[in-house]
Amino acid sequence: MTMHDNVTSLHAGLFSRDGHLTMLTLDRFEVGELSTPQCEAVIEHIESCSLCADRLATMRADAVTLEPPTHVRVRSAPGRAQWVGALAIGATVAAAAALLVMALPQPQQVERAAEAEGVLTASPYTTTDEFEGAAVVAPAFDFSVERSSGAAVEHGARVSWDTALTLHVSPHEAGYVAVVSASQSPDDMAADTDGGGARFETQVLMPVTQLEARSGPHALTLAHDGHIGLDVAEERLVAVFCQDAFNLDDPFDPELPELGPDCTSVEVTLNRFGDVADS
Amino acid sequence: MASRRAQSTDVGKLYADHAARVFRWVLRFYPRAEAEEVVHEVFVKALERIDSFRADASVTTWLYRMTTNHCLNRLRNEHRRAELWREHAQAPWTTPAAPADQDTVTFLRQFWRQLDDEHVAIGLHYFVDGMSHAEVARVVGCSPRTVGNRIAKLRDLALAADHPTGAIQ
Repeated sequence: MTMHDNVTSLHAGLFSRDGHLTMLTLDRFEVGELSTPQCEAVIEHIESCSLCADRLATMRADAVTLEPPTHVRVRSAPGRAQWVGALAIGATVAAAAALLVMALPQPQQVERAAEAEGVLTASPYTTTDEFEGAAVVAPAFDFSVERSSGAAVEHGARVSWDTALTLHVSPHEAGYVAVVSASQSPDDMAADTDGGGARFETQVLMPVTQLEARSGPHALTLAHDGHIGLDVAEERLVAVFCQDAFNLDDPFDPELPELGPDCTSVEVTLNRFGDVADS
Repeated sequence: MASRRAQSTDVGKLYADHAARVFRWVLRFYPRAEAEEVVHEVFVKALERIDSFRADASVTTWLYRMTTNHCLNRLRNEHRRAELWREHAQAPWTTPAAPADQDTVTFLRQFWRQLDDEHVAIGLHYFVDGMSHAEVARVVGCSPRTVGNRIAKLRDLALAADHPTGAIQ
């Protein structure tokens, strides 16, 4: 791979096919989600492209102030719903006002990104990292997926159906854990996931099991013998931890599992395929 | 309960940071008078699903996908769709973010009701947003190969409909 290929790959997602920055790129730039080289590429392009500069200026000028909903309805215990507190109105107004007065990109934005010491700037909406002014939602357990070679399988990885995987579960505290596989064929993935139209083929890999605090990691072997898809499909590996014993939904809906307030879940989604040799 | 309170705080920050952005995205599908209500619905969905958000992912992309899917699902309701057409006499994408080929937009307007959400979402991101295969795949959450297959089908539909030449061909 040449340096040019690396640069092309790095910036592949930034630009639309007509050579301009995509709307999503401009939004991610505004939020600070791009890496330092990507920020530099965006700034360099904006400085030489009046169309994209105008789009960015319009985007900022058109930012509106929205009042947050007074209450947000959240699903809680099975079969019922609960009203939780109001969202931060003051913060909304302040953030919207900030959007209105923001100037065009300044070099210090890139410098700040460089200080993050990462290729990608960290999102504040993490469930594991603590940051000033926001609450922490730490998962109560570790959940990871590995190939038989021991190589980690990341969320969104492309894995053939006949690849044997090992799932590791390790609770931080005593409680109950279950692991479910839910897969969709390409046709089913086209179905509505919000209107109840999605069809998942579910398989309970680990029934609800009581585990001791900091035990494990407990290993599960995942093999889909004979399950050879004709095209790419999505498989969601969902691990659920609850402090108290619970029942898995039947059928289990990974889009919106009925979980109690003491429960947390972690999901690893795999892009599965069966007609191409696994590399 | 502590985790739920934490989530509501997280979504509060999410709203503060992104509501104006989501509002702009929603305007591609809904008139301004209705868009704010749709924005609230999107954030309710975000609250329900914040557990599924991964720390290493882009929150903007996550919200963009959720907003697009929610708007398409909302519009898919037959009654709502008929009402929309009656009230506004036009389909979504009245405010394309990019200067999309007008033939393409016209094609998608004509055919979006016949297509499933995935095809519409991919068509929207590819033909209207101008995204590459890889970027569409990242946003939609499928493989580039699937994106290619769906775009090929859209092109076949355009050819079958004897649609004027444009970006979609």
